Amino acid sequence: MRDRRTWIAFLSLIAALVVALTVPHKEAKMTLSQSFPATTCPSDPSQATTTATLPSSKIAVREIAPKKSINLRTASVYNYQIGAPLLIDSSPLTTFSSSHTGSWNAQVLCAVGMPDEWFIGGSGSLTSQGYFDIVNSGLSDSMVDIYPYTSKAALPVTSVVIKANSEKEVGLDALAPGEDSVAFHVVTRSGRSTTFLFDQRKKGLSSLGGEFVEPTSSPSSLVVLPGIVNSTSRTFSSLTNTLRLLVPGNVDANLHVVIHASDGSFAPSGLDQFHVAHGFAKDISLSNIIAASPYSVVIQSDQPVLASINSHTSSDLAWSTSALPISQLTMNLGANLGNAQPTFAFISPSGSVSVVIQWKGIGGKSGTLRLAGSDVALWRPTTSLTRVTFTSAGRLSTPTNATYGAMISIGGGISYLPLNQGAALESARTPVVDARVITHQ
Amino acid sequence: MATPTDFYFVTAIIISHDGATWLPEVIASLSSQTRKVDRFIAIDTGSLDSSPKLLQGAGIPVVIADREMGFGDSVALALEQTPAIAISDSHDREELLWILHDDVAPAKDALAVLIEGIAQYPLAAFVGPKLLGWQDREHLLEVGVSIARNGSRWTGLERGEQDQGQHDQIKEVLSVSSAAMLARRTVFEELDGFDVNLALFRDDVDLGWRARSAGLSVYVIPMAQAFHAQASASERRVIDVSEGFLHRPLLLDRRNAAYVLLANSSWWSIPWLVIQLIGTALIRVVIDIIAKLPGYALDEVGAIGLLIVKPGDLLRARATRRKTRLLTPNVVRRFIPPLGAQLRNAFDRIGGSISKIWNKTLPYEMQPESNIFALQSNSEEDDGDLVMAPVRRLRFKTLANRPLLFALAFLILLTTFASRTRYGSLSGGGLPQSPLGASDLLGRYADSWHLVGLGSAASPPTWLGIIGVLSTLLLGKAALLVTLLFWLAPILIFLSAYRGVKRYGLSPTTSIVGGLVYALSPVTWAAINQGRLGTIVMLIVAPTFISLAPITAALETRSWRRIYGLAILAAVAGAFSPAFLALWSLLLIALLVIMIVQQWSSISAKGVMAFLTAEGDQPLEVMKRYAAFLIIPWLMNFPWSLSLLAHPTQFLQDPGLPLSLHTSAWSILLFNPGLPIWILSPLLFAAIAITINVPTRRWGVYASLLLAIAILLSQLGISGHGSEGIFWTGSILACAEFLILPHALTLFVSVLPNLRQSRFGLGHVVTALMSALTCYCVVTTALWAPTLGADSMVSSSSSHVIPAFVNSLNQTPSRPKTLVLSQHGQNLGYFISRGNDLQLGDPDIVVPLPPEVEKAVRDLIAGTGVTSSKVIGDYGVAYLYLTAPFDESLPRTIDGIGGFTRSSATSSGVIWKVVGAHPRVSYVDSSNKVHMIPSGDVGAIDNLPQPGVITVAEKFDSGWRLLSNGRPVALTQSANGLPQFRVTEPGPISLSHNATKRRGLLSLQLIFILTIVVLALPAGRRRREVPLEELL
Repeated sequence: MRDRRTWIAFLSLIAALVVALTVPHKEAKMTLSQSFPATTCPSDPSQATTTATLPSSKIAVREIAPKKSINLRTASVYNYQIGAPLLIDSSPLTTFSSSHTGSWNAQVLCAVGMPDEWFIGGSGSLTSQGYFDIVNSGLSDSMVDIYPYTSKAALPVTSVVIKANSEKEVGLDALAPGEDSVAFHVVTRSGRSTTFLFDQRKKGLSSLGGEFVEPTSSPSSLVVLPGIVNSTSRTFSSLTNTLRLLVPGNVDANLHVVIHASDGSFAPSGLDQFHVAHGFAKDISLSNIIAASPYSVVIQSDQPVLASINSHTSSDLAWSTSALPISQLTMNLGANLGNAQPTFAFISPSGSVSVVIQWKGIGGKSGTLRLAGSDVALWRPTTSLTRVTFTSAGRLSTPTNATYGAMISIGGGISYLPLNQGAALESARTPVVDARVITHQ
Repeated sequence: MATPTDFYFVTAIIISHDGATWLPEVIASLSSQTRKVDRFIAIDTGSLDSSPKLLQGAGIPVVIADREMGFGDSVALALEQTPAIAISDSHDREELLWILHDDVAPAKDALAVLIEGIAQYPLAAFVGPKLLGWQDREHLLEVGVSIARNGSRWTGLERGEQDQGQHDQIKEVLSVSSAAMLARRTVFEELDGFDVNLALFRDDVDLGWRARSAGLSVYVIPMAQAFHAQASASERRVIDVSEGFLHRPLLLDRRNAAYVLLANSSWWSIPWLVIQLIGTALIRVVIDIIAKLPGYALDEVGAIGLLIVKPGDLLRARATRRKTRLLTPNVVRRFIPPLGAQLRNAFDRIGGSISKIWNKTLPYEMQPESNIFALQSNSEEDDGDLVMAPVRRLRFKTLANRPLLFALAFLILLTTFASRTRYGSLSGGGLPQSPLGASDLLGRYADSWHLVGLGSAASPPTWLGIIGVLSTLLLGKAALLVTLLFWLAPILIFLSAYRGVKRYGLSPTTSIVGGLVYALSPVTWAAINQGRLGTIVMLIVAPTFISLAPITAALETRSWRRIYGLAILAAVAGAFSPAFLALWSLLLIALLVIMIVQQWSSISAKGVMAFLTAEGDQPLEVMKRYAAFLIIPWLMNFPWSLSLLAHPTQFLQDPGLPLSLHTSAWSILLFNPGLPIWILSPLLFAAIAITINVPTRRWGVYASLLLAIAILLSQLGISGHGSEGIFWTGSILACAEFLILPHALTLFVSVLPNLRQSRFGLGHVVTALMSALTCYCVVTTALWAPTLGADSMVSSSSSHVIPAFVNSLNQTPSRPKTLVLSQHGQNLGYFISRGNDLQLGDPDIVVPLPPEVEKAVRDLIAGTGVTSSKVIGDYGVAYLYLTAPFDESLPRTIDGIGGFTRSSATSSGVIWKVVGAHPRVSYVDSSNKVHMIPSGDVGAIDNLPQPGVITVAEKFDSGWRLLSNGRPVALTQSANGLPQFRVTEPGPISLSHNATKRRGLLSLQLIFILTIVVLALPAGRRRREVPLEELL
């Protein structure tokens, strides 16, 4: 150690070791990319005017039709007048389309389309003009299987092939002829398809209304149906509500229904505890429910169950489908809802509702409010809104504690839209360029 | 009683030209002949020395002729001066001409024996003696002479063959040398003597050929001996004959050889002769250039040129020969050596030269003493090394007593067992699959556009060319070369280390220990098992390089040839390890800077130019050599070295694929970059020992610094070569190992005598522990390698990642590509295949994929890429292949996104067809309809029926060229970043990638390599530089 060089040697080794052991080394770790998938809006129902409320006027869209270009282009407008189905580029904002005629009003969330969906609604009866609008936004053919359920039996599957970049309509009366109580299980076998169910009724030349039936991703033992319009409203004195149920499993279910309204919660007589056979669509009338409007229905079951409520008047109908827990949801409301005025209804099965609402209105107005309630909470904005964000302030630990919401549009008809994300944030492994994949390792 | 010699009258003709050196002995030998010469005549062609006086002094009549007079003219002049003896004077004696050079001394009885010989054969036109060397009088020079079809003078003797009477039979030959030829005068004159166009050299062969064509014979009488100095051929005197262009003997010899062949052969054989003459001349030119004998190379070219310039001489010569010809020229066929004999002779000569060079480099005790050698123990001193001595047979016991042989046998067994999964085409770890042949590798090296990923115009690394060239030695089997290299690696590494350690003056046994420690080090086996081709080559090269390294000796005294040789080694090491190239360059730059700083006062005082042009300046000589070491590796690796400068992160990449194997800093410190940590290498402790020891300290410091660099870099994540990984320290550790090893062994050997004589103490303990650790390392590695280590990342496999049907589709005119997705643990990787697995050299030329494609794949996996299929389809990706195993959600996502149609799903994986994928070269007409243009690997040729846009589904590069009707079309870039051409008129089109730049750069590299290799090779000697003792 007498020589300076010896010290240099040892010190350099020690220094290198210290640095190498201290500095975090690069480890092979998975990286995730998160993105919202592109969503699809259905085509314009006949005789209606349909508008999609886009998240941004700069968002890229393309119309889905065989002869249309497959390149996306900038929408340039917030309220996009829909003819053919519309593909909207990825965005964290939820988009919905609103269709209306003079007499009825219908809204639907523009969605990605799930491989496995349930539609609890519609009718194959004589008055039914309803149909499935299956939109294939992909660049290859898509195959979709439709399994109809009626009040009498589960019907054979109908397979539908949809050409690339096109849509196909399948009439409900063809799937379940003459059946009034129907439910459908739709399975996408291949391709990028999004299925919409439009329930339209006509009696002769007179329209009985129209509404989209929102899909449900999977049966659940807790079903929350927020925001059901009740006949107590003067506007809808002739309104009747019917609960439709389907137990898709192999075991019958025992159900317990609780009504939550601003004037209290209760279990209606006969629905406190009742039995539903599996494999059949079952309709139960809720006409005798006396509760403030709108109210919410919470169904608990010992078996996974699917449910929706059909509200219909003489000129319009609505399908209140199950909602998903709200975490945060932003949507533009710039769409022309016709004469409809939106009402937002929130419910938590545990009884305590707390939602923070941030809104922007026409003329640059904006505001934030905290909505709280013991059973249900309602918000009827007085300003014409352009954008609104709902954030649940409650706990999300269990489905029972979560907050659920829906938008009810009344005026020029009735319409129901669950406050669900049109497209959930999807996480996926970020693939990396790796030449090793084409060599033996 | 009359003897046969009495029936002849002998006229001796001596032709002299500056022959004073040899004439005294020549005259003495002539005067002492047992059969006296009847008449002498000497022609002196203007000698500048005392030749005429010497001849006159001996009583020989001398005629002084012009200095430029040729040999044939001189003989003709002599005949004029000595008229044939009159019949009246002849007494029935026949006149014989004894033509003698002034540098040939016949033995005493030569004339008598020659006369007896010619007397036996009435048809013999002339006879000649056996020619022996002037200096070495047992050295056979000629026993008759002929000419090969490539113009070589053919004696049929081996190089340096000694006379043991093996050729002492009279035999017919094509000709005999004119040095001591005995000819019948009448016949000689009838044949018009020597051709005057052959002023010197080959005139004897020509005369013999003409004699044979005239139906005569020529005999060599080996019992007659003459000793020939070959003064002209060995360039001991100047050639002054008029035809001796530029006084160059070789030029004259080659010209005359071609002249003899072309003048005497039949017409129909001339084309084949011309081909052979030119071919041989070109080969000789190359050899002469390599031997740094440019003058000889010019002689070869000039000789052919002279004949072409003066064809009239040839035509006249053929006409003259026709007059005396009685037989077909092919009558001499039996004297012309067959091609096989010529080749055998050439190989013998080449083998002899190589063996000579090799033996010079062998350790003294390994130099062969005999042609028949085996292994035998001689003494204790030699114990452990090969000693060559003739024995009858080899015994196992003898084997066991020879450590070197034992070590080699042990390593052969070890590597044979350890490589049991590596017999066949290898791939795995950092090693991609080897291509089929050397031509594939060399083609890839020479190509300007590489079919890897979405295409690449990157410059391939030099090592690819080296492997390609080496593969040609195995009949182009590149895979075999790689397999052999991995199998032989421990043996080659051992031998290299053994020789390297011996250069430090250590005993053979110690060197064997050093070789074993090096060959069985964790670095070696980690490199083999992980497929680190570059490190294996570095491990082989490092011992030679470091043991001969310039920093180990006074640099200014090293010859430039040695400097070039070492620089070539550095270039090879740099080709296989860019990290080495970087460190080596940085070291030399630092040394140069230090020297400039030290010499700054001198430079300031003299001025830069004066300093640089000063002769014999020691620091300048050192600086020049440093500069050569710095520059040559870069020049030899050009143009790849330029791309390293352009992308400095490539310095961190070893050849092949980077691996994500993390090695802790402690493992690197213990010289173990990849084997289980319980295999402890003794080298760290050896490094400490040599650093503490004063005489070896500097080497310990160097090694420690290298080790510190390796430790620092070992934690570095690197990205490149088509993948991501961790920096591999193997090449740096290989150098550090050999910086330590010889000095540690030297230290060990030097302390042993002291330990023997001293009392037991700490020194004994430390030495014993080090010895035990060394044994432990060698034994554990030797046990691990064939057991646990045999299950290595590199293995032979006949299967491929890419399915066979995708591979076969790649040969269709649309040349579809395949996007391969593969899940490794949590990571999902992807790459684009051209229908086959990754090939050797591919990773080194991979360039990043276009961002559009990367986004499309990312969106595809995320399930959000509605246009993913269109983007990758535009790039010609027609298939998507997800290899098993994979998460079940992945195929569902791909199925759901649209644009991908499932083709098959097997246990190997799932394949989708990309809907609407474009062919490699496509053409969109005015109605927006896409048509395929049949494509080759790179280019395409077709006939366009109408104007349109041609798109090439490759990464954009400015080198893409399209000719439409022979006119270039402007290159543009499509929205997706693809090369595109807008063709405005129908007609033939030709698509190519411009390789002019690449060819130019490769030519430059070839020039650099050839120049430096030639400069490093031992120089050939001109004949005049070869000592006479060696020549004659």
